[in-house]
Amino acid sequence: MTSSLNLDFCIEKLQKCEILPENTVREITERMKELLISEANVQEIRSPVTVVGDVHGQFYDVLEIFKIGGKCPDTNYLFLGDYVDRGYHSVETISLLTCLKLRYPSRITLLRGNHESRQITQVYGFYGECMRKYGNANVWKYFTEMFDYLSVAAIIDEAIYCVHGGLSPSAPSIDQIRVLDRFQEVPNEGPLADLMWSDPDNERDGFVESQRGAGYTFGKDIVQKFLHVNKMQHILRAHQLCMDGYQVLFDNKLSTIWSAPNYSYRCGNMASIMEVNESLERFFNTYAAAPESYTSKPPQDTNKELPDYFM
Amino acid sequence: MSDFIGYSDNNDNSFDYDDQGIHNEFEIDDSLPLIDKIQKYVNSELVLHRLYVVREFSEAIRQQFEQVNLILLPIIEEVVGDHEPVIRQALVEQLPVVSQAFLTFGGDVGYSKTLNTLLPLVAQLTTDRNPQVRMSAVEALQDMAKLIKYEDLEVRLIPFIRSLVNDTTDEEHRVQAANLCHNLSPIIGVELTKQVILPFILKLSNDPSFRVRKAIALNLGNICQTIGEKDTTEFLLPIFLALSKDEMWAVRKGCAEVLIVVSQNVSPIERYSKLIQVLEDFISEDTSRWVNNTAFQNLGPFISTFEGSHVTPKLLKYYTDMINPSTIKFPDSDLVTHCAFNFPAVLYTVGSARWPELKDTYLYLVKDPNWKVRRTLSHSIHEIASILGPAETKNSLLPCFNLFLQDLDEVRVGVIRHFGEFLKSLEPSLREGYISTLNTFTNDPSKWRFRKLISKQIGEMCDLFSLKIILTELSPLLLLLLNDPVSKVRNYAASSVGKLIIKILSTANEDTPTTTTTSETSPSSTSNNNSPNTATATTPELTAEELKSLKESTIQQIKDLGTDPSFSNRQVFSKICSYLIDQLEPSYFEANFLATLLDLSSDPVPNVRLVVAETISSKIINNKHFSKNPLVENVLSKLKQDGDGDVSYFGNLTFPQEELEQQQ
Repeated sequence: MTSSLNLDFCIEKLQKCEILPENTVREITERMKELLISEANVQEIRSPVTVVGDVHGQFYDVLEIFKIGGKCPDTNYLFLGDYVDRGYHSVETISLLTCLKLRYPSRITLLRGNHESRQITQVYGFYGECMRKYGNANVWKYFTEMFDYLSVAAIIDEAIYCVHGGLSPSAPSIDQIRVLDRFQEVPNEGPLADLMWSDPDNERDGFVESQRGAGYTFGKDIVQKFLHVNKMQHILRAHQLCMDGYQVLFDNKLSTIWSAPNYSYRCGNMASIMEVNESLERFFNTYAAAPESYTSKPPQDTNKELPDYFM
Repeated sequence: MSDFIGYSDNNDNSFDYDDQGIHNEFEIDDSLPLIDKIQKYVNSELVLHRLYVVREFSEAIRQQFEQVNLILLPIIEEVVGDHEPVIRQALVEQLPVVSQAFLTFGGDVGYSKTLNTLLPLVAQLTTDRNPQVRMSAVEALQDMAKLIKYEDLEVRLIPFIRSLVNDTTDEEHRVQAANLCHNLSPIIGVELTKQVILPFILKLSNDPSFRVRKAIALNLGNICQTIGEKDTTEFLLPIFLALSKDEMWAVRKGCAEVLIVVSQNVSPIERYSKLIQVLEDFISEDTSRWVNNTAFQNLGPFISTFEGSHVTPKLLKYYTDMINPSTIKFPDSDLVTHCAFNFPAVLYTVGSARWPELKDTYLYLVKDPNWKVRRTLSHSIHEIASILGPAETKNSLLPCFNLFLQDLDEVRVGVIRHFGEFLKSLEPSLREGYISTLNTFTNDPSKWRFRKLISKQIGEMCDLFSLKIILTELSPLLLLLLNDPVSKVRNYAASSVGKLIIKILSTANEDTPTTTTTSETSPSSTSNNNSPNTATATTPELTAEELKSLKESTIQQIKDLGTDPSFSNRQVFSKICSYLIDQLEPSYFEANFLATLLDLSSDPVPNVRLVVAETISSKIINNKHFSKNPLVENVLSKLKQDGDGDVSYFGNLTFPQEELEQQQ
């Protein structure tokens, strides 16, 4: 099939917060699957890299990240997942990140978060947004199929372990994570689910079943052991709202990065991205919501091209 | 706010995403070729299906003109009759693009299809029963008119408009005629507008339906602009004056809305003797709140259509009274905002000599409790300062400027954005006091947009200060901003470095290499002459020796960025070079910056190399002093083959020939 896909044009369009045609979404998700299928469960990446936590469809805040952290490809990025749901612009957000990954595959790495799932996106907004913006569920189907191909963890310079949620009692060694079959919907339990659902707990050692209904909480002892066994220095993860945009736990062995400022347009929190430099020094670059995030209402303009009713 | 598995906002967990049945009936079979898809779905029962394929018409014909054009025309003729307005609207929006394809690929036959089939369809839709379709059709007809040969316009379009003008059955058709006269007059040109459109306008302006008269009033703008001052004054002004006394307020409001463009196109005498009276009637006599309000909103722009000396004190008084509700028949809080927004234009028109008539109003406005009023004033205070000059700026405006600096961020942003421009209108002795203000803004870590605005201006600000201040205050500030945590701030700061270096070099010994004469640098040398406190200004506290060493260390610190351990500093250095190459003497650039830049082509971090690659392939190699430099050529050919795909991509960027010629 001859392709007329022009990624630079798509990226330009998306940066204006305009959605891509359904056909184009199909094409970019197909290409993305071809690209991602050859990536490992645990991606090895090099510093310098800027690590981004949950963004949840807050499109203008994602643009803010590139203004603050530098545009792609000037800066390397590692996104820790949770691109969709909650915010008004999940479609534009995941479309942009997908196009950037296709355009600059060595400059940007995308991991899977617990929201990159068919089940969760039906409850928390992405499914409804696709229906509203495209009039059918195809785009949702294309993207959720693509989500099955995303890597689940990354390691920076053989030293910093990065994952969306946290650790799993069923996979104490990174080698075990490397051999999981990740090409499926996020399961409700087991190691894959844990990587995307677990949280650290600085008051309780060991693994404890999480109140979220999936994953575990894990204590300082677990983190120390994991770092020791796997010869890692630090764990970077996202998944939990931090009012300052970040939180550092366990004697500076684990950092949470939260990149959705004023989460859900009402939490009033700060956000951060973490810049890891060539010497593996870590710097939290914090920011508040982009001015456009305050002024952009649920996008009525995307409805205007559709009829007022269905019969 | 945490997520829980199994939790649902709508309490409906039964939704099964594998159940294809839910979506199937809306789905479009994407595996079909475009034209098959169009044929299959254009008669679908589902509006969405039809809408989807109608929007593909232009794409289909552009992609495969030969196969598609004959199939598509009958389909188009059928869709014109679709009972859903949204489909007809989508169709009419497609037709100009479809027509363009007929012209591009279809030769004479294509033109004839456009003229004989497509143009009449668009014309027909301008009188559609649905208002949205009509609106889109008028726009589409305007686009179509641009595609039609001039000689065909007269025989094809004019009779159609005439039939609408003379249509006594439906006033809506005559309203559309008015809209079309306005939209088409720039395209059909001055002669046809005068011969044909003007009689239509005259006829419709006496129409028994006020909706038609209102449409005529609202649509005078393009016609005035097309036929110019002489004919507007002779033919349109009488029509306008009559409509301005219409018994229906909606018609008079239409006149109030086009007053400005009419005023721009009549002779100064008539403007003075006739239009001031129209405006005064609207403002002080009219019984309609809407007419009155519209006239007030347009008062500032109306004043700005005058030669300064013709603005009567009475007219200016109407303007200044906008802040005074007791003098206004129908007070409206928005009038104050309009008054503030138009202040620079009004003062510019009447000139600083009339400042005494306006000053009290200005000083009142800057204290308005509505921040939106203050925001527009904070954005324009530098313009006021430049009109009034240093003495009055110091006396009247400085206190306002200081107030704005302490206002809300939404207000402050205006004075920060034009900080340098305001300081320019300030006596040099007063400028230094504002360096500390600058530092306050750049020291606030939470306000990166303020830092961005300042990093943009530092280069230009070098013209406003003595060498000592440049070296001891502005240079350290710029170096700080080059190291800012926010990428945008660093990049804007990078663009300011050239101006700073030029300034530093040009104020030293005569034999030091100085500026090239690019357009960017020439305005600064002009302002240089006007400001006594630059270049040769003496700085008694520092000796020439001290200045020299400060100068060297500043330039050294900029050079050191290129060998800094942090990759983002090395990247910034490469970006600085992409600006410097256009600003500095080539020999100075070569002696001080080129070697470090070329070394960075072997940087271990690909993100540095790709900026180097872009800088060299888009800037350095295109500069005639370096295009044959073997070192540069070697480095570029190495970058073109870099193992990193993004680096080699930027190394291989080529630029259109004309762009290169412009640069040289």
